Amino acid sequence: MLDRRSALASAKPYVSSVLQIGEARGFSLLQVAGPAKAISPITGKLPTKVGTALQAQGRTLMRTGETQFWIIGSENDAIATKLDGVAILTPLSHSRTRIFIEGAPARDVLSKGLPLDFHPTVFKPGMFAMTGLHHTPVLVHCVNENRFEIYALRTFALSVYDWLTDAALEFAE
Amino acid sequence: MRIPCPHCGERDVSEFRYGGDATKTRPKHGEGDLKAWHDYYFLFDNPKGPHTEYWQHVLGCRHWFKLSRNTATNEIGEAS
Repeated sequence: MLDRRSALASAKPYVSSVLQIGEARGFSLLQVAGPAKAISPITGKLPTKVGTALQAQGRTLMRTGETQFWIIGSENDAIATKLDGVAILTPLSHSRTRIFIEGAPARDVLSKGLPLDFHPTVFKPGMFAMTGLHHTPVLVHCVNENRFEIYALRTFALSVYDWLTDAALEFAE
Repeated sequence: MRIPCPHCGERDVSEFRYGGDATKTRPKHGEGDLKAWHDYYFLFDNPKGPHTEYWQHVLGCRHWFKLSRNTATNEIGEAS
C-alpha cells in the first residue's frame, strides 16, 4: 500500500513550553461547488456566511464562497462518493499540508506575517480566512482561541513551516 | 491601503492584484480594425483623481471586481 509522505519530513522540530507548532496529519479535503440546499442534506447544515466554519458529522465544513465549500474529514472519509453527481467535486487532500500553531502567543506570531487582524474579538473561533503568506495563498482557520490551523500548498509547506518557527523563535527554548 | 472585497470584506492591499482600467471598452470579437485593437491593447490614459479599476483578490477568494480609487490620494470607494 502507498503511504502518504509528509512534506515536512525534514522539518526541524520546534520546542517551546508556551507554544506548539507542527503538522496536523491525517485528514481529507474536498472542495465542493454547488448550491447549499443540494449539498446540506448529505453533509449536514452548512455555514451561511463566507469565512465561517461549522462542525457536523465529525467533519469541518467551511464556506469558501457563495456556492463553494471545503469539507475536511478523516483520512478515509467517503463523503465524495455520496456527493458525486450532486455538486462539482475537487479532491484537494494531496495538495495541502495542515500546520497547527497552538498556545497563548499564537496570535502574536501569526500577526508578524499575515495581513489579518488577529485580535481575539475580531478573528474568533469558527472563523477562517483565505489570505497570503510571502505571496503564497494559505487558509488560516481559528479552531479555538489559541489554536490555528494553516492549510498551505504542499510544495510551499516547508517554507511556511520554516517561516512560522522562525517568527516564533522568541518563544522557543 | 485597505480594499473592500465584495466577498471577504476589507482586506490588506497585499492580498490583491491590480487588473487594469475598467473604463475601457474592448472591441467585440471579429469586429474593429487594427487601429481599434491597437488602441485597446497599447494605449492607456493616466488619470489623476477618481478612477474605476479592475482588481482581483488573488490571495483570497480570487474573484475579480471593479473598484473606485482616487489615483492621487488612494482614497478607496465602492467595490462591485
